[in-house]
Amino acid sequence: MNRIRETEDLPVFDWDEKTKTAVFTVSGELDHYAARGVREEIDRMISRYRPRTAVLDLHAVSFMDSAGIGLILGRYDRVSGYGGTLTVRNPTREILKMLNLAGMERIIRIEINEERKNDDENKGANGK
Amino acid sequence: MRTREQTVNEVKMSFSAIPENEGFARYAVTALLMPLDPTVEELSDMRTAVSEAVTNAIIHGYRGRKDGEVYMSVKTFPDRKITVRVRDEGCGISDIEKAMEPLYTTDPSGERGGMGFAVMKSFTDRLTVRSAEGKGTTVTMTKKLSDPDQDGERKV
Repeated sequence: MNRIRETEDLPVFDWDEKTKTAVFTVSGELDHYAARGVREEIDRMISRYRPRTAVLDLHAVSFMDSAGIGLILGRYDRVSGYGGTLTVRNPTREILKMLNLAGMERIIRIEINEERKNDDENKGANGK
Repeated sequence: MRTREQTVNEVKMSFSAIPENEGFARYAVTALLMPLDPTVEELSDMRTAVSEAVTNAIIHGYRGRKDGEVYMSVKTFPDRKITVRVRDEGCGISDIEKAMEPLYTTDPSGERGGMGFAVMKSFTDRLTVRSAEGKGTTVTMTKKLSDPDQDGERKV
């Protein structure tokens, strides 16, 4: 193996059988280099479980560029292809800016937990 | 005659056109900008714009050829303006206007969404693209950082 960058953070997978919900907690830097491994892992789980709802939790993603948009849109196509839904959960402020630029809120459900919202607001007030 | 704008700092580098270096380019820009005390948002905008420019050079300019080289230079000016130039000697862009349309992509299977130029444009103050087919592409991005005592969350 000849890897220069160790961003092999694969998404953590959680499955709820009752609601057929899959939660993928993605972490690290989501650029074009990292997106491939993340995509393959998510797709492997999606084909195996065919979740009714697939959730991409992005709170631990420290960086995301348009490769992340491609990743989200690709999973959206895949999941909606068999009648499932895709939700993006807890994007950081920086990621939200990217999602808005791409107009993602028009096609994908974006969910921000109250807890995180408050966290962010507190950070904003004390920030500097 | 136009006088040359005085620079505070200028750093030039070149690196192999391999996807691993997308991260390197971001870290390099971050390291250069940190002493200027940018806001968290300004820093994030520049990192993202640079990431898009370098990714474009690698996957579109050199089309995955591993022997290519990406040239990046960062200049800072006394008025807190910064300029990042990313250049490749790859295939060039035949229709720049078209390439800059949001969602336009030459590689629909790649799942990258064709958002690169839209991101660079909206996350910086000014974007210029020069390209010649068969010779390569140069992307220049400029952003003026806010005054350090202005509001905005800044990293210590």
